[in-house]
Amino acid sequence: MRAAGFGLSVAVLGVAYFALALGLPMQTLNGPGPGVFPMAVAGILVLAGALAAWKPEAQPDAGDEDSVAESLLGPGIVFAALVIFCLIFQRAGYILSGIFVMTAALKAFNARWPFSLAVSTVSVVGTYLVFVTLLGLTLPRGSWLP
Amino acid sequence: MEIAQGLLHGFSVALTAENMLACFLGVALGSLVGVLPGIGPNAGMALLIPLTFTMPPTAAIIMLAGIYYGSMYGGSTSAILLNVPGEAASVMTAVDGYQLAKQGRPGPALAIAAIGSFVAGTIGIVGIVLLGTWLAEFALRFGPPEYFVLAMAGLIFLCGLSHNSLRVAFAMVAIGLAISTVGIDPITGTQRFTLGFTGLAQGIDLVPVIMGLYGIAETLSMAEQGLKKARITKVRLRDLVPSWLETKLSFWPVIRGSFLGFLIGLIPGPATVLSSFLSYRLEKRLSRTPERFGHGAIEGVAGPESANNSATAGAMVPMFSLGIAFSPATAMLLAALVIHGVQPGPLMIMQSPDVFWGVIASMYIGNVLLLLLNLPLVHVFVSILKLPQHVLAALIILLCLIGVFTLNNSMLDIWIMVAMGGVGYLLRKLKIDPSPLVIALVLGPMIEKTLRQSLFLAAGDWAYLLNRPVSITIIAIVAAFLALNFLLRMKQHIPKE
Repeated sequence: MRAAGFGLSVAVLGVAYFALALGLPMQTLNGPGPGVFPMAVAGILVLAGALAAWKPEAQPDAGDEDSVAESLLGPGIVFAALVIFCLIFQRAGYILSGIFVMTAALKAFNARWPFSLAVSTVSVVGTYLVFVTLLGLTLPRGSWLP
Repeated sequence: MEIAQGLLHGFSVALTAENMLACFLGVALGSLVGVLPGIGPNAGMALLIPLTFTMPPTAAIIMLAGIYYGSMYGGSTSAILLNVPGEAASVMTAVDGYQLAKQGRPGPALAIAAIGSFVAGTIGIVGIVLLGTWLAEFALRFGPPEYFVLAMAGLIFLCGLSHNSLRVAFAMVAIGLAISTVGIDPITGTQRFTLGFTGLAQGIDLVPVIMGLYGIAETLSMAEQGLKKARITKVRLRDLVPSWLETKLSFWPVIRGSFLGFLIGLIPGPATVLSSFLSYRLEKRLSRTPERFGHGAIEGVAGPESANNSATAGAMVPMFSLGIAFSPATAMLLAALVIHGVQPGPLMIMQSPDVFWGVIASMYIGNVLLLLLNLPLVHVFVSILKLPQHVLAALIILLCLIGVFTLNNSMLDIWIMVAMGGVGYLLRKLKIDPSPLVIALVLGPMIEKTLRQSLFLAAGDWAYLLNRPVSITIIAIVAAFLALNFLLRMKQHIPKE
């Protein structure tokens, strides 16, 4: 079922990609245009996706719904923390957003609050010193700092 | 430049203090990446690319290459001691290695794995020198049609050898090719699939995709599994010496594994994994006592470990000689060469001899360093395994974020990495190997460019591709491979009487 879903998603992606590729020129004075290759790729996407959906591989049992929901909680927290990191990174800067994402990741593993905060602060400040102070790379400090 | 002269020049480059330090750092970090379950060579190299930004090109590539082949050494440590392969290529090592550890022989298993890796690594480097220089010279005759056919053949081989079914592998390749078309068309300057985002005009970089698919996806999987505590077997230095019988039994598996691994490394696909699997099967078939395999046969450690190490060397041949990557790890090395302003391909030996010969020579030095690191200092790496998994996962996330942002100082790259992390996690849940997507992303621009150049040269006549000896040879090999693959799959479906 899940494999069929994968195949269908690829086929739908192929159709959307094909629709966008239609707007590209197929021929130029210098030969084939920028739309030729995407058209071929769209064809492979639709065909391979349809085949994967039509004859999906056997997948292992997904397990009962409660255990699936429980097992997805940890990855869900980490993924949500990463999205929030992306939203606040430029404004809050590396130190604050880094501590946030690391603490959230540690909490997703059920680590204790003091441990999570301590490890996150040490790691983020340590990496800032190594990458910015020592190696001279650029990481945003955040608009809240003078 | 002759081979001997080139190697001498390479050693003069590699033996400078700066490059020696880069080599040491590379192999030490590579061993660490290999030892720690979860971070494979792909994510490891992607994570550590920012460290190379301030380095000269030669030192940077020496360090990244060191991480690549060093990770193969380290992978055996956790496989033997914990039954947890540090990276996929060490899966077969875990089968008999862990049994040996349970029988109180972890030391000899680790020692044979390290010595086998050293021998294989050295044989592999000789292979790069001999075959790589010849291939680079031969490839000077290649035009767009040959490169197009070669890259397409690479993708077809990859699909056939991937863990995925053929349909799923082709779907993954198509997704990779579709991603590779995002950005400005290099020939006409037309913007394609940018959806109004100016940041996408430069295209989608390989590094955020690899970091997402391998690094972030791995941490999401770790979060699903929750906290895990490792029970580690203690290893003392004096326990490392293998017995005479173990040494004798390991000799031919190491030699066979080295040559088999190198040859498989040349073929596009998951070379390190495939070579260790095939080496294990070969040793079991050749053994007079195959029933020992799976219960602590030292040959089951010696063969696969040698094979996966020489496969890393084999995989570097097309990268150095043709500028084509057929595996995610060599794609990372290729990306690093471009980041540091080195143009990979047949002319690299002439245009950047310091990088080419310096990296080759550093691999000899790196192999010796790895033997020293992985034998007397094995207890140091073993103690690193005590690092809690959740701290490791959180650190991987942090390093991924730093690595991707510092690449171009772009928020879009971080978004792409996070999105690819989600995709990578879903693919893991579906047990789909993401490597065809990565390789298609790397080869896509070359395939499109050479296809359009070929069609322009041939005035739209596809038969032009078939009139060239190299192209027709490659097409014949691919056709034979596909026919063999089809027959093997048919045979699997015929019920046994």
